[in-house]
Amino acid sequence: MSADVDERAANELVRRANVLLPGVYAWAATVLYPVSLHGVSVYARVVAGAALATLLAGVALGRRRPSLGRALGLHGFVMACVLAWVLLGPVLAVDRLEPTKAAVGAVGWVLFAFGWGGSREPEHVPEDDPRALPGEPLPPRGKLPRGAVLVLSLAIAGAAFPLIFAWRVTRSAHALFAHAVAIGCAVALVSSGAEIAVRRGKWAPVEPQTRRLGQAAASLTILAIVIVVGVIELFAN
Amino acid sequence: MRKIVDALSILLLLGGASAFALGVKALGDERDLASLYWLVAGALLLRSSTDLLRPKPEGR
Repeated sequence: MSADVDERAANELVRRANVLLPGVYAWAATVLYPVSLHGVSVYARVVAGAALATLLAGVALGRRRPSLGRALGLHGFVMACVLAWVLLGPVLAVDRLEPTKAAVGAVGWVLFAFGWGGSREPEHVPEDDPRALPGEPLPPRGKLPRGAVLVLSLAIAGAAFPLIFAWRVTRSAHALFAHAVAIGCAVALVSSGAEIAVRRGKWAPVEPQTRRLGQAAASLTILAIVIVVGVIELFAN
Repeated sequence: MRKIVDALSILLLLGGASAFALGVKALGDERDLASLYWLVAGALLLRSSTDLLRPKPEGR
């Protein structure tokens, strides 16, 4: 019994440390450092302090009130940090950022995100949980449609190009935007590629097949208009 | 017919990938308007490619 209590206490300590340490690290690297610079508004400093307080409160409440702890320690903390960055204004301009500190801060935020995650414990079977809904095991739906791997591979390869081209953008403000856009494009391409790869053919039958064209009529029409505008602009120049 | 529509959706996906790549490349070439054009075209190409697959309920 005592060993169980000790083990639970140790697990709780590890869980709190996994969230708290990277969170404080990310906050110190990306919020505390800029707000401690000369000429920063008081509001930004107050919000930065509130962000840390929110994180500490979330971690402290995490065990007794998990949802409130998560709301404070994750959502509240991130929102307060974002608000502090907004209030910092030109202090966070891209041309004033120090690349090494920015990279270190990014690593801190990645670790913070992992700290909130969870993984299955060894020898723990999820279906043994008393809250798991009973029922027949779900059988696999069959084989992937032919060419699924090829379609997904093409989408992944296509997603690499925007990420590569983003490094060619030399204008500082545009460079950050280009990387954000490239990541968004890559995510959209891989998601769409995966959807097309697995949902072709029999997995999502739509009869008659012409109905599929009807479903896409609106987006295809807007696409056609955009292409026509592009062609006209090309010939006009 | 099914194969044609499948091929069309894959072609639209490839078109979307190309348009996104051209959009980010145009940003690097300091052609901001062209970049915006290609990014919008890419988004529409991707949307069209998935709309070709998505079954919608009857009556919509």
